[in-house]
Amino acid sequence: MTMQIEANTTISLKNQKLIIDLPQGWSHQQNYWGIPLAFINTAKNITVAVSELVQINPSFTEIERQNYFTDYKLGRLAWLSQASGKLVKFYELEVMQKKQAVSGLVFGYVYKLDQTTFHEKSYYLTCKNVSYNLKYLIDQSQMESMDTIDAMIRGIGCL
Amino acid sequence: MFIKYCSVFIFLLLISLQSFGSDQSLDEHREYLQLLEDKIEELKHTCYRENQFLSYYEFSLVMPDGEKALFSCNQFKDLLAKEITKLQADVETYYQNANGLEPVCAQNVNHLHIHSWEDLSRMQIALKEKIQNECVNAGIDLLQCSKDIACNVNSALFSVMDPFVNSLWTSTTTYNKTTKTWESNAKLSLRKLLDKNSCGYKAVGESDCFQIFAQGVYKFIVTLFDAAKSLGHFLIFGEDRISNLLHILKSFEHPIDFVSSVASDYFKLVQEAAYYHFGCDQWEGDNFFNRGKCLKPDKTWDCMNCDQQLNVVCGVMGFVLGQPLSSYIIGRISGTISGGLEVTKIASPQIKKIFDAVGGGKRWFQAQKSTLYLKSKMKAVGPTAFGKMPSPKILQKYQSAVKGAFEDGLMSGKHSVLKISHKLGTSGYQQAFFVNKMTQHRLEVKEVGREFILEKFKNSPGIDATKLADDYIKYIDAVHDADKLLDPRVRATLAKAYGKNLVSQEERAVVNLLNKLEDQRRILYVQQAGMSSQELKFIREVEELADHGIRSFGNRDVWLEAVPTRFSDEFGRPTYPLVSKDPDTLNDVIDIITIYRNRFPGLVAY
Repeated sequence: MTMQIEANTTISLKNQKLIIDLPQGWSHQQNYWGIPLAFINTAKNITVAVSELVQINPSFTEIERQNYFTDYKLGRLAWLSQASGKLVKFYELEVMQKKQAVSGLVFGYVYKLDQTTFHEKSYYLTCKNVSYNLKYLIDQSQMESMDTIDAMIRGIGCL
Repeated sequence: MFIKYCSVFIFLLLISLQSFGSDQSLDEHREYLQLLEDKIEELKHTCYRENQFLSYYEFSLVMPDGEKALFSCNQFKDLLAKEITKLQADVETYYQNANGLEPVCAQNVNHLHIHSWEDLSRMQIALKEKIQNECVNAGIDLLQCSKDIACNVNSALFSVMDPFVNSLWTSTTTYNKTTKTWESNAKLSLRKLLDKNSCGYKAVGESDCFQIFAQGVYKFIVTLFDAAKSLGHFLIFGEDRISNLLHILKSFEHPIDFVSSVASDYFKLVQEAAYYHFGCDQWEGDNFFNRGKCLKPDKTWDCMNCDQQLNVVCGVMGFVLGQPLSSYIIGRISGTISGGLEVTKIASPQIKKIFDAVGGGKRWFQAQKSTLYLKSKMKAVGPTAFGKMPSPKILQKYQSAVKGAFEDGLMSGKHSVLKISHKLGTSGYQQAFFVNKMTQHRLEVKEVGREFILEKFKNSPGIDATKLADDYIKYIDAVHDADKLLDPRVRATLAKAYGKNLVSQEERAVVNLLNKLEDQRRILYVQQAGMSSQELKFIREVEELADHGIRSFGNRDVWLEAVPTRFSDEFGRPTYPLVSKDPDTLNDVIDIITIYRNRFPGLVAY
């Protein structure tokens, strides 16, 4: 798969500068709907929400990682219970090894609300001393964008 | 007027004369009130974050023998409210023979600015006075007491608020996704939208709280707690909020319209809940859904003008901007609740939550009102001395109340169940606590599992769901009864280990023993009851689901500051329940959560 890179963008956040290659059709916006940063594809109606967190302990044990994954799963099931949704599956927990100074965990799940299937992924990344949550939501018809979004997020670096 | 001042002066004089005397019991009442006020400060400090009441945040309180018991903010609040009510009764008994003691004279009600609970209480007292003077003596219909008939809560407040909220956003914003300029334009300026005759216009200061309400809803949707910045907190608070936000951004071309409609509809619900709880002392029916007619209208409420009623609504803000709002928003996003007026006709758990939250707000409101009343009655209590050490006797009184609350079942809100822990008469509270938790847990596993079976197997050919549910209950009682099951030594060790991740060999050995005991009882029971292997399989599956679901989603072990450790090896079963990857099983878990939340609304953390 080839990505068309429009520009290498540097974004100054509160605690750090992020560098990201935004593919064609994507732009970024700071202070967007109460979140510090968002990557937006207007034509496709997809938003990646970026929240700043306090630094996540970089040396998780496997047990700790599984514990956090369990917390994630419990929270999602509770959300589905309130939304009268149905779970399709959880993605396997993914550990992102250090690449361009970024490492972290990836959680995700697939669910149905009424007749629509949704996919959600939640990245918990640490870049130097700052951690971020990057989260996006797409529906089944937007699945072809998933690889592009994942690659975009995985390519993030920091200064 | 002069006579009134005179009587107040005489009244104050009488009080001060009394307080110079060596009246021990009055001094004690006074000191206890002081202590309770300090505790209220403590509650405000501990249990509120950014205007929201953290119902399930738990911390420990000390009992007379120095042992500690876990209380949630909800339970702490109830304890304080109860103590204040008791104190008020004591003080009133004390003053029974005294003459001329009335609440402080009415202030000019319209000029009171409402910024806090204290202000609301002050207004409430003043209004009571007003009613006594103007309504009761004159013998007029109390409903006519309201000077401003146009602002009757049933009609005017409703209709006035509606265009209010709707114009709130659309008139100031055209949201443009490309330029993203709405935020600077969307100032929630309410007053300028009103004309002079509107409810909410006249009083300076009073109705500002509505603005805070609308902003609160807005902020709840689009922003995160500052506190939700650690990984553990973000998993609990952040994931939900960002999910909600992403759904709103995805589904609505003008997301602000959605926020506006949520704010407006939610306000109507809160308002209706406020009328249900504050406007009437006794309804025909016993729940909000089938309330029937109001048999005993609240005189104070009827005599408030719309601005004042509005402020009562806003006074419960802290209780409705948190968890109930979250449920409501998720319901709206997913379409399980619709907006508009018909929403009030749906007896959904989301709506019930709102009504319950306002009810909790009322109890607290009354306690605060009593505090002020008592202060005025006893005269001598000055500003609160937060942190001042009370005398040993008073401290003992308070700690006994904590103990009483613990034993009476305020801990879990289940009186009959907690009696058992008391009855056991074991040496320490740890054991009572443990057995209580275990008994409470068994009750929940039983009830939730039963409903799950009835629902899940209702259309299964060859399975009698009702019989299966009955057998399930008998089985749980036989196998897990803490009273019958545990040797005191085993119980003591388990109790000590409660809430911890068990690591040591000895602790593990005790847990294994518990499991073994339960296994023995299980085998015995299956033989006695002549259960088929198929039936046992179903029952054990449901038992496991209900047990895991309840331990994962109950609020009893949620500590805000220590999220990753909230699971324990309590009751001998493993720490992390959620190992299954099978979607069917996980969807069963979702059903369990739903049943659990509906059946035990106060106990579910999510």
